Amino acid sequence: MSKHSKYLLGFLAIATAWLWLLPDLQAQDVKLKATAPGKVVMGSRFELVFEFNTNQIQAFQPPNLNNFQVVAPPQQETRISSGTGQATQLKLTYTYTLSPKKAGTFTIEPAKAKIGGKIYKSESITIKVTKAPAGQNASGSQRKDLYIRLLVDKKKVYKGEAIVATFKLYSKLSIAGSNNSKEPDYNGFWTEEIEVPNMGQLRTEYINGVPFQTAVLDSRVLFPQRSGELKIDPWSIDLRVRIRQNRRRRSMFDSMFDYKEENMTIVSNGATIQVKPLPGGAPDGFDGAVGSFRFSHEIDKDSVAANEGINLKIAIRGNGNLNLVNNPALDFPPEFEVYDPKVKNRFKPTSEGVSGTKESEYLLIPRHAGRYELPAVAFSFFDPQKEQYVTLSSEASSIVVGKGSDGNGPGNVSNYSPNVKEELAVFGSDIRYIKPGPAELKEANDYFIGSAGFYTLLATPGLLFLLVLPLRRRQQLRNSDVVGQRQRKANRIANQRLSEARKAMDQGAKNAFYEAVFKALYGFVGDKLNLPVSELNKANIRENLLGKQVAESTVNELIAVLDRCEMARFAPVSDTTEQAIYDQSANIIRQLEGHLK
Amino acid sequence: MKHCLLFFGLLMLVGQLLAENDSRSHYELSFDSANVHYNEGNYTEAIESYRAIVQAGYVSSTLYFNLGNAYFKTEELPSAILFYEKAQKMAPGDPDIAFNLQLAHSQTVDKIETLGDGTFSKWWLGVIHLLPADVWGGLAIAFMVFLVAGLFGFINTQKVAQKRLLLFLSSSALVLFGTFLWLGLQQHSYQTTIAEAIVFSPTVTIKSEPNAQGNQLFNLHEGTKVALLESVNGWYNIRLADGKTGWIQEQDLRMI
Repeated sequence: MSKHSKYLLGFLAIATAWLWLLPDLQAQDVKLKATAPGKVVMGSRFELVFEFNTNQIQAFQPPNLNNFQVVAPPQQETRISSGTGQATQLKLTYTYTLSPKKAGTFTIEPAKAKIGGKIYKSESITIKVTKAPAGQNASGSQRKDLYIRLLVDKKKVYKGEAIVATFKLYSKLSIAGSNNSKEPDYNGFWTEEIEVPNMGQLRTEYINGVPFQTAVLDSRVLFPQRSGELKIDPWSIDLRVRIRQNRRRRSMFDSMFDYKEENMTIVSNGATIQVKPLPGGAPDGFDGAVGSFRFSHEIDKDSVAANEGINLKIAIRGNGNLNLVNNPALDFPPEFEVYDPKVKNRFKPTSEGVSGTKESEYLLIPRHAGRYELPAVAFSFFDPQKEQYVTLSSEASSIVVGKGSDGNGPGNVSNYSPNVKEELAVFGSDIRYIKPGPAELKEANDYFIGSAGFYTLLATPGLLFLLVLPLRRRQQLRNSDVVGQRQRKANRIANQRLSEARKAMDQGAKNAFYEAVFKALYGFVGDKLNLPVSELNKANIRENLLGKQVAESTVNELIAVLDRCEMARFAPVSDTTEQAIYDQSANIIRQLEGHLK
Repeated sequence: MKHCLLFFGLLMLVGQLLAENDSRSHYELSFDSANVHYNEGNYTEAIESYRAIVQAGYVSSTLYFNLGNAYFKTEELPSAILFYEKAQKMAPGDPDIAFNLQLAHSQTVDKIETLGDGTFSKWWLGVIHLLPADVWGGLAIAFMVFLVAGLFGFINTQKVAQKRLLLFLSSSALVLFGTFLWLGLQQHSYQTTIAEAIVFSPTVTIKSEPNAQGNQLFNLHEGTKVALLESVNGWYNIRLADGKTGWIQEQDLRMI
């Protein structure tokens, strides 16, 4: 009610000012008349008109209208009529559009007005409100003739979840035009207008059986950009409306004014949206996409020559805040030249939200031959229906890049800078990878070198050498002692010759016998005394033997035997036998051997 | 009876050799499984497996290298450096070890200028590690044998030409014997001598004397390599690559 009284006060201020400016028309016989229908139906509207025949109103106090709802603020109208034969008449009306609140009989108290220092009163009016006929009971607000409603499909949403807000005009009146439309500014929302066919055109719609002209003024998809309570402001618009005058025709002229145009300010309802923040635990790579999406990621070929283009298509299909969805981060091998993607947005805001496809096409140009991995791409979004995060992943793909077709080099030809060597791009440094083995384990500090065994083994050849050396030396010395050897051999040779002599004796060969004995003795002595053959004569023999302390008898005996042998070789002897000579010789050799050791 | 004992002795020797071989191949297998852990990113498990092999007394440059890598991945920089250094000590010429060690060193706090370029000592280390120490030793023994045989031949032959040739061969054998023995002993002593250590305490103050009262000279941070000069009562006299020396307590170090 306070809203209405505010309107009323405003109206009064304007009206008063207006009246003061008008010329003081004839003001005698002031009348204040109130008119209203005596009978109304619940849900219907009626007009309460206060009529003055003067414009000199100093103050006007309307009656208490608590039992009725003021649908439209009071309209003020001044008419000056110059009827036939009558004096010029001035008529000022205040018109209230009211709607009953409940059934029953109500009395509207008189209105008071101060005109020319006097207080005038209208008569009181009794109105009987009857119940509406069946099928027409609805809330009072829908019973208005003209109103705008804000229709919101959801009042509780997650941040980023789509809401469809529609302002719709309902009218039983005929609308002549509009001005001063004040649309809400949707603070805190990202909005997408929905294209409604025949936007703003009137259609007939039945509301509870009552025909209404309706028109969609505006419809849009709203995406709350922050959490908390977000308000959608009401829409206010000034409409020029043709209203049928609820009057009796009084004259022919009056019929022309059956419909009068009125300016009405219509204010819609507003709405408050509870925006919940997105729950925690968002996956990596979540970038604010809210809705329900599908995701595809495809390359047009997986085998290509260097410097040939590859198309990578990423498509995000679905319903949600597509305009605010970013492509997932892509990781290309550094050898690929990547151009900014061509983005095709094929989505439309509809009464279901914004749905369609966001397609990005990347052109990749591998510059070097090789085998490359395009890592898997993950796209994450929040599904407000399921109230959970969803992550969709594409599979990793590999691309085999062959050598460039122009054959200018070993596989790394660049279209722009042929045969230019590139700096190796280093992305980071890390330690080198572990060695696979074999570990070639050994016991710690287990060395053969430096051990006792090692030194023993090292010394062994030297020791062996030292051991062998003296033995070897002795043998060598013995080999080099010719005299000793001759002496040692002398006995053996003499015995050999004696045995030869014996053989000759047995055969009766006297000459051979004596020769053998002679040689045996001669050689024996020569060997023992180490005398060369040239010096071997009897005198020398005697001298040397005596010098070696051989008994003289033995020496004489030797000389005697030698003489005998010499003689026997040239002349036969008979006084001694060969046997005796042989024995004698053996005896001499034995004796000399004993002496000349 | 005597033959029986000999037989049993031989049997035991063979058995021992086989057993040793067996446990070594067991650890080779656990080395492989540690590598698998590493590859899957389970660095902690990899470290455990590698360390079990070290604890069993088996070492190799590859093992130390992989262990160093695993420590590097778990961001235990001083341990990574320690094992890289141990690996490099066993295989001085390995480029992978040198690379990772350099990378690990570059992440330590202390920046220390190195005196000299160390080219000669690097070359020398390379030379003495051309062959394993025991191979050097075996070569030395072989040339000792050649030397002795040559000398023996020299003594025995009467011909002058032969004598001359044998003298030449023996003296060559002597030179080679000496060289190989020296190289082997050098490598042996390099491997068995602890001459360097890594600082393991996050920050440690180096003192001028081997006691707590000594003047504070400078601070070192974990991961820095120091050379050990002498030790007194649990304190080590250390020298940095830039020539600075000072005393540090043994508990702040881990020997390479």
